[in-house]
Amino acid sequence: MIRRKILYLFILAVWCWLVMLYNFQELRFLLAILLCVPLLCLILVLPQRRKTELELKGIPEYVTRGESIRLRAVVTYKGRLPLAGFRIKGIWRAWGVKALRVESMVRGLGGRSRREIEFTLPAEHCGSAEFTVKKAVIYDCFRLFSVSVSSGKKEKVLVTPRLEPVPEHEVSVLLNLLRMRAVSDEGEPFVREYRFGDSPRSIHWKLTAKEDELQVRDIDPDRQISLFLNLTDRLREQPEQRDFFLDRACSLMAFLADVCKDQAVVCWMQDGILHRNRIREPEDIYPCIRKLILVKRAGVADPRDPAVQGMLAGCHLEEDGRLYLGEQCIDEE
Amino acid sequence: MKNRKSLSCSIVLLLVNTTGAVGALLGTLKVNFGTVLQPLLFCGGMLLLCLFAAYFWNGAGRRKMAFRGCLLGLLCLVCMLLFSGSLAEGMGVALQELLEKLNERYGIRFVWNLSREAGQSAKELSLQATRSVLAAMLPYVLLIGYGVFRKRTPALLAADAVWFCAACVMNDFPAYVWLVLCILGMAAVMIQNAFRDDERAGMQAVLIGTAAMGVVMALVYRFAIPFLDSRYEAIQEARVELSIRINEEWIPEIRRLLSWIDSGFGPGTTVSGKLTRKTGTVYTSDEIYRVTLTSLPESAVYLRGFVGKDYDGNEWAADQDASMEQYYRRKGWDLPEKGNLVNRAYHAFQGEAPEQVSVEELAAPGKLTVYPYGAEITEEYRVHWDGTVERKAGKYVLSYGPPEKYRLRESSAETVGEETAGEEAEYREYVYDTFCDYPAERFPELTEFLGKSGFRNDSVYHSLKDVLGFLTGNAVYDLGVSNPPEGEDFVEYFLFERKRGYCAHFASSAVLMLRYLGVPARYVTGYAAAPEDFRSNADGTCSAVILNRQAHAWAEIYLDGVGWMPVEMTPGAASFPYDNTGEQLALAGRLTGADVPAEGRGEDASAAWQPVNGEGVSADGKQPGEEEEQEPETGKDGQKKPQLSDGAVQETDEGAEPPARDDKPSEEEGRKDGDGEEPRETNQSGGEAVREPGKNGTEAAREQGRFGEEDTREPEKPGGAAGRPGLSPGAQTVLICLLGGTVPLLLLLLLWNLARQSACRQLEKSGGREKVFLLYRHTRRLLQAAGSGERLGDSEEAAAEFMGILEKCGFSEMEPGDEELRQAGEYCERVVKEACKGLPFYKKPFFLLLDLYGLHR
Repeated sequence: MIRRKILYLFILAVWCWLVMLYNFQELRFLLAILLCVPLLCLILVLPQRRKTELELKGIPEYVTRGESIRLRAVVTYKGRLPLAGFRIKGIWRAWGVKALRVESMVRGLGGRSRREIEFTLPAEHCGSAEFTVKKAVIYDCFRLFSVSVSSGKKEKVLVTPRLEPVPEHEVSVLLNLLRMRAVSDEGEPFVREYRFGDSPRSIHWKLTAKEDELQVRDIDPDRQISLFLNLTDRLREQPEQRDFFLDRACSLMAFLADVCKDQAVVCWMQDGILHRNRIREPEDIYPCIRKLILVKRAGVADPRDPAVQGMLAGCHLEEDGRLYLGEQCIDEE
Repeated sequence: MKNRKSLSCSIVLLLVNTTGAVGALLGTLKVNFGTVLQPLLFCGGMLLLCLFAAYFWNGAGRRKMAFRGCLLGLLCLVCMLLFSGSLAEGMGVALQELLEKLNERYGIRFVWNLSREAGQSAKELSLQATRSVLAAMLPYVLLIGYGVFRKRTPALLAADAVWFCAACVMNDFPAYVWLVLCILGMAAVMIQNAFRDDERAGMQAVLIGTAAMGVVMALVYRFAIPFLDSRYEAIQEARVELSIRINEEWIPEIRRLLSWIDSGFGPGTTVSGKLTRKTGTVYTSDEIYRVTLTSLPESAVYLRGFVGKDYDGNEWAADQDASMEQYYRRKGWDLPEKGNLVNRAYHAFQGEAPEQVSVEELAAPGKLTVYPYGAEITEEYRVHWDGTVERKAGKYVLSYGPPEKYRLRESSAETVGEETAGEEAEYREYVYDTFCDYPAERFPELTEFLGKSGFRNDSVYHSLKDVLGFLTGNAVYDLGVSNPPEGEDFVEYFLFERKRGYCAHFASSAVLMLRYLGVPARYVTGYAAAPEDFRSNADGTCSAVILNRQAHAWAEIYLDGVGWMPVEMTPGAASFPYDNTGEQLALAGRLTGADVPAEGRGEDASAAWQPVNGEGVSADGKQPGEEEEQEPETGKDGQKKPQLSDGAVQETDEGAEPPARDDKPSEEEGRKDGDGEEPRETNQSGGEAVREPGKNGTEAAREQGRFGEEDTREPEKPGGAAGRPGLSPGAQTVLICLLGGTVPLLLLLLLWNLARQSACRQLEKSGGREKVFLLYRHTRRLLQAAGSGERLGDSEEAAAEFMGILEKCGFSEMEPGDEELRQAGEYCERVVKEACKGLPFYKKPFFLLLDLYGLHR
């Protein structure tokens, strides 16, 4: 459209120039028409702004990595005068890829009509993605002037990892581990001293009152299966590797949620702190996955930290996507 | 195109735009449509071309395109082979006309003499030209068609820019009707192109857009144009400044940069009879001629170029050779020696030792040779009877007798040689018959004024003095004035309204006033040089370089026995600031034997006539009435009789009568004389001024002119170049009626369309039962309107079925099936059609308009 405007301004300038040179009344008539007609079009299109609505549809809350999103921009025009065009410009920002600019135009919009513009947006890597309407305009009859309808509308989507079946050898190892760490029948809660980062909700207030020290409820490490996900900041620089890691992690989480019920804990480093997530129900893995995907900075685990040491001694997933039990790699076989 | 409606709409838009663009192009290029047949031929031809273009561009597929291209090409080839001669000749005629215009505009030295078949009338040739030009327009129409059918707006703009460029090149603009058509068509196509995803909405938009643009155009024409015109006057100074900058700085610079191109274009102002100015790029300081004289001139040197005879409000037309030849044939006289006639002024001076004048073209434009009064034109020049000479490029040297030296003679009678006295007398009669022509009905205001002015017509000297005095005292010189508004006469508007003008205004006014007073006068354009412009050369001669800005217009009067003499009528002209009016007045007085005051040379001409209480009073204080009583020398028809060289006025047989300029011959007399009856006899010494009553000189010249003269002449443009409304009142009325009729019609159609769509939408949205009820109600209303009764058929089986469906829907609240709905719809449609058939033809359209579900069905 900018070319059109430039051309129009150029013609206008040439016309003014010619009017100064030639004493033709017809030339002045054309100049007046050249000014008045676009002005009239602009005047006619201005009130249509309020009668045009834009709605974004078709964006789900989650989408699995590798699938594409079919976003629909629905234009509802309630005016009576036909509109020459509607243009929408948007930007798709997804993790790990360059921002994608999309643009589409409807040439001609009848009175009281509704049109849909569909965009196909890729979801290549896990993480959060966002579609923003940068510009939505309607045009006058000659498409010289545009009037903004709405902009800044945003729709967010979470690109989740692919959940795949856990390989059989890993299943057998994990089940074996589960059997070995059977729960005792005493039913006493396992408590330990409060550590920085523990949830206040897990504080055992009675015992704390007795002991005069903050005591928190925890799962007995001897009884639960913990899976440590060694999520490092290096992975952010390798989107494919990160996707693979997350796919593996989430698949394992799903398996543990399914099999271990209340006895599985998934941990990873977040901002340098060990982040624990107990998986009680299969539904619990979704917030867990969400948290995992949205980790912006993992930080560095302190190897002297006994908790970290304990995690590394147990079942843990390394950044290359291989599962280890202690120092033994399960996937090597 | 997806559907027929859209295709039809596109064809109509193409036709409108093409008609406008081609009309504008041909109008600019001066291809005339003079006869009734030609506009019809033009419209038919345009329709045909548009259908060609639609056929060629509509649809897709390379194979199809190739096939269509081959078919059209073959058709064109066959046509060209069949009508090659006619088309080529017609094209030649059109191109020749165009070349003439270009030559005139730019002073190109390109001449193309077309050989024409003998026996062809002007009308036939003009028709041929129209046909050929239309045929040549096919590529142009195809280009526009490409823009319309392939939705390529740039192509459309480019095609429409063609005529605009042509208008700039030809320095002329097409008539409003073409502009309006072109703009409407182009805008509508652009709108249609903008709606390419929704053709139906596009058609609606085209309708609304066209109606809105029609209203805008009407408003602009009615309100904005007068405002712009008034503002245009206000920015005149800025325009002049810009023009000066362009002329003085930019154009010389560009010319310097392009000096390696020998374009053959002259930079100066073409000497012509055009009065109005359309461009600011005139009056430059380009060097046009170098004039060298044997001795320093005592007075101004007038280089005569164009000589105008007939005034038509926009320009002066030259006296055609055929006009004089015909006159002489009618009189039974032999044509005089051209040399004797043209060189009369020179011969008048023969007693003195002639000098020499050399004129060197530096960058002269136009097609005429300029030469000073008193120069001898030899046989090597192509000279016309009115003294104009075809252009002779380069340098030419002529024998020359300065007009100011005529005063050395005792009387002008001596200036006529005995051997040429007879020729001079005949020519004088021709001059008085032709160059005293004053169409009083054309200048009502001027005529009324002159009737009351008290200008003396007892001698050339007094007439000149009064006219000059009036012009000097009444108007101010102003080079920057714009053209007069539409409907206003160039001269009358200058004299009585604006009272400001440049040399063309003064000279034109003077010529008309002098003619009224009986002094044969012509309008002349050329260049003028004051004595101060001349510089002495080493060899004793003196030279002056004539600049473009020295282009000038003046009047020339015929002095019996002497010939044509220039008279300066412009006080303080920018092109010629040298004041020689008194000098010339005195010279004219002496040559006509008038009683010139001793201080004649330096007398103040402006004091000669002064208005008193709106009434003219002569310089010596006499009232107009007194003057009229003292005019026994005037002829019966109001023409002043030719004066003898001593200034005496020839008596006629019918005796003297006071001037009665408004007394035109009756129509019957006019017809009688116009039918070829011999004019009244004149006496040998010039006699009574005789002219063909009821016809002015222009009409006579047109009648006598050969083919092309009337066509090549610029058509009388509505409003002309005047910078004011360009439509004649009739055309304005037609345009307003057209717009006034079209806009409400379009609005009505739009409303009807909306109502119909709304009804159809309602029908579509409604459920089965509701649909049946709606159909029933609608059909019943239609039948009521048609006067066929309210009941829907009782006897027919179909009617019974329909009623059954209706009852079922009404009583049982059951939804009708698709089949039942179809049956109901078909039945209602059939009933409506039958009702329509029974209506008289004039009711049918209204009935069909009422059928709102027609679209749905």
